[in-house]
Amino acid sequence: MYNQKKLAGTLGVALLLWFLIGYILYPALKTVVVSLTEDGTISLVHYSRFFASEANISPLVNSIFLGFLTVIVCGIIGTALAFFIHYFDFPGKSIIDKLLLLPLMLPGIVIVFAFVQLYGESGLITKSIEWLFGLESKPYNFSGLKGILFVHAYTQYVYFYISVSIAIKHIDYSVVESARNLGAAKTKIFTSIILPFISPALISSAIITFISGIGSFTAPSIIGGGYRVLTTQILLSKANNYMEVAATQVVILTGISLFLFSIFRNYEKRAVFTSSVKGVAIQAVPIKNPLVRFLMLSTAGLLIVTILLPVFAILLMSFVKSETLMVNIFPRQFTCENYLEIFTRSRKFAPFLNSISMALLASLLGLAIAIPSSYLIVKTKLKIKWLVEMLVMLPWAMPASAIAINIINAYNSPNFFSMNSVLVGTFILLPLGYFVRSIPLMVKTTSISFQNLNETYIEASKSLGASQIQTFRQIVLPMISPGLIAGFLLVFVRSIGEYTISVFLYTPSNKPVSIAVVNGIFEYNIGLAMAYGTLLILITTILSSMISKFSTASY
Amino acid sequence: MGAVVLKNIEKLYSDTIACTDINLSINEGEFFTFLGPSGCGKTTILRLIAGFVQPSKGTIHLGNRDITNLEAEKRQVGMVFQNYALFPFMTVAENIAYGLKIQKKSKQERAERVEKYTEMVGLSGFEHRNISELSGGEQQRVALARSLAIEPKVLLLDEPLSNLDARLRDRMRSEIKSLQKKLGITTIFVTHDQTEALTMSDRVAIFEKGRCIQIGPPEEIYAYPANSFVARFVGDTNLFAADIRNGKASLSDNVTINLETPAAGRFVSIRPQDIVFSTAEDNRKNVFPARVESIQFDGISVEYSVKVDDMSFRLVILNTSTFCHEITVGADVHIAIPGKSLKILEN
Repeated sequence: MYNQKKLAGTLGVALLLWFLIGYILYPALKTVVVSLTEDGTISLVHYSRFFASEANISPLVNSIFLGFLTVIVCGIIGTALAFFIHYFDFPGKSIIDKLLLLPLMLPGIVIVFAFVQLYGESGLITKSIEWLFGLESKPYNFSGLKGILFVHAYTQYVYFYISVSIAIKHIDYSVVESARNLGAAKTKIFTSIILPFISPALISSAIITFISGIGSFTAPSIIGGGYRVLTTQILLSKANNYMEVAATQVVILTGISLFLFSIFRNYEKRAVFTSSVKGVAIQAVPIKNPLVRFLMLSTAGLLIVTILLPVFAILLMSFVKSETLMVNIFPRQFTCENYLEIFTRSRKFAPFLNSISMALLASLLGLAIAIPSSYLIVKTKLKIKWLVEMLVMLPWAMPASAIAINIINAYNSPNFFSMNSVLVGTFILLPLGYFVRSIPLMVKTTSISFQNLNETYIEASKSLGASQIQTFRQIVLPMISPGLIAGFLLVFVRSIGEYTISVFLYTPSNKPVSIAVVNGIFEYNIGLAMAYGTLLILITTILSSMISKFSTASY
Repeated sequence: MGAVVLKNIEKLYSDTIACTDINLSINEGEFFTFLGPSGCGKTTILRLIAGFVQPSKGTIHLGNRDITNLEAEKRQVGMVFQNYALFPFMTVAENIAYGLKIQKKSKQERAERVEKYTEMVGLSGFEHRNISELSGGEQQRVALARSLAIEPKVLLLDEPLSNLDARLRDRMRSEIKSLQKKLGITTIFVTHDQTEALTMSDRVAIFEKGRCIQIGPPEEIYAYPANSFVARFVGDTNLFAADIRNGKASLSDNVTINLETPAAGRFVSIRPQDIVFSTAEDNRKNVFPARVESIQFDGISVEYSVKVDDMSFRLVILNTSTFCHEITVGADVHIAIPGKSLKILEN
């Protein structure tokens, strides 16, 4: 009986490792091998060619430069917002606090097009400025580095905002008071107390933002114009079927990410400030001066407008007849045609259905892997758990374009992990990519469930006469399910509007909605594209609010 | 035969001994306490009785039934955990009804019992509260009601008062005790707090390093500690190694005490309240000149630390209305150690 249990456990762990190695580690290694192969022999020629050509070096430099600028811009915005929200007391701050997280949940491709509709050459804001000031030419050039940075500023400040907010909330105010008691002035308090408290948050957010900055694909590919970065070059290589070149670019990009990510993990483990006793939380300062109060409220108002403007732009444009946009500067005629088209014509509805079913599949796969993985990591003392933890966290350091190339390289030929079949060109490739991209976040979410599941609850249930099955159904399941549901929805939300992996891996038979949005734009069917966008926003915001409800419901 | 009987119980964790050679017989309706420092094995034994761990050796009987290999959920043993382990997603009433639902009691019976036990622990009106809305003391009461509601044969309490503040702890102590008396339920209480053990128990078992050293009523354990560990752990004491022969105990060259009745052993224990101040002229035996080193006043009593040559003694004098605070630090005094107050211990 006992041995049977043990055998089943060992088999389960083996199966989990087989899957994790097969779909996370092996594809990455396969890409390394491809990058080192020329005509069937091992060679460094792709690397020497890469570093010899200016055409390759400049995207690399551009990527790194973009990463740095993203960190600086997002660092300033995110940190300033965190202090603004948590240091001062003003009406509406809790709404803004929630709103500020919105850009994280909206599909990137939808945001990029919202920005194009607002600030692009014929964007609503651009045209309004031209009209207001009677300008002959456009007031600014949105495409290129500036445009990318603008989008990054909107989408990626969130890491800084969240982690600095948490750090501020954890500042023990009695430490500040004791510094004042010891005679420290306000600036001294900031540099000697506040800054050390938030600097771990700043450093880790900087690393994460840099990784996501250099891995960013959506904004550079749509509005990058002449500003070429490594991720867009990877797609170009893949499209031209230079898979060795693509592999080399992926290895270089992943190498940088992985290096920084390992620093981040090390840092994360060391730099945790814990106060030994329960501290006093920081008190938000109420603003009494009417002028300052007015300024604060205007800033808050402006923030709300800036955050919501892209959403309104999408919503507005989704009701516009695409043809009329050619004639009028501002949209005049509104219609529900775009929505009708999606819901009545099966060819237009298909991308939507595809995305839902593929996101669902990715989420289910995520659950199937995240539950045993987080259980193993949190609740057991197995020696093998470091490997499981490393494997599930690895995709965090992989840009989406790298994940896609890895999967292509690994599954364009039959092998042990795919049960001897070729997966490239099949439906499953996209959900697989979505799954790999989200598994680190999912495991983090589900791990919290298991951390909260204290052993004494199970013992208490048993001592009250409940059998193992009754205990599992009535105690364990209710305790872990909020975290599991939150994780499930998280993968779904991140997958349904996903663009980068989709553009690398989709086939005509499983075209996802993000690709349909892009196609719509390029066919000047803007209204339809925006209707897709609105539906995506609707789904992701509803599910996101459910996620936050479930994650706060964890015990 | 007792309500709970442990015979030759031993529990090993890989190569460390959690407890060994445990033989206990707990009587029906008795309030029985396991007392010992942390890591002495007392909680392990409680968990053995609850069925969360299996003994490496020995048997456990509940009444006439051998439950050594019975699963925890079939033992009908109620347990209150140190951290209460209340199910956080259930209300007070749902927590209390949980075990009854498992027993497939009818809805009406569940409601009646929930009412009965919430009232018993003084939480009427709290039935629909969430656990997170309760204070520590209230959570403690829910945990108690939950384990009593299944009307178990034995109630196990694992340091249930350790998470409460001092005042509340005192109150819960007497409430638990009176509840136990009223229900007449066999109760095993685990604690490291000697006050809890002495005030609540019918009998106490003292544990040290996985072994049971002494079992007896609180008064007996206090008056006749089995060894120097018990003497020190239960109540405060002055403990000395001594040369004991011919009806005298020599603590040092200058301190030799005449014993009331001859005894053999290597240690003497003298309770601080047994030593009194004396005057030099007093011709009583066992009077020694001493110097006051420190004084600690705690309201009910005053504790003096005095030195006779190099030997330190502690005295506790009750602060009655006739007590005078004349003695100050550094004063030269005399102390009297009555011969009958000496407990001679073998080890």
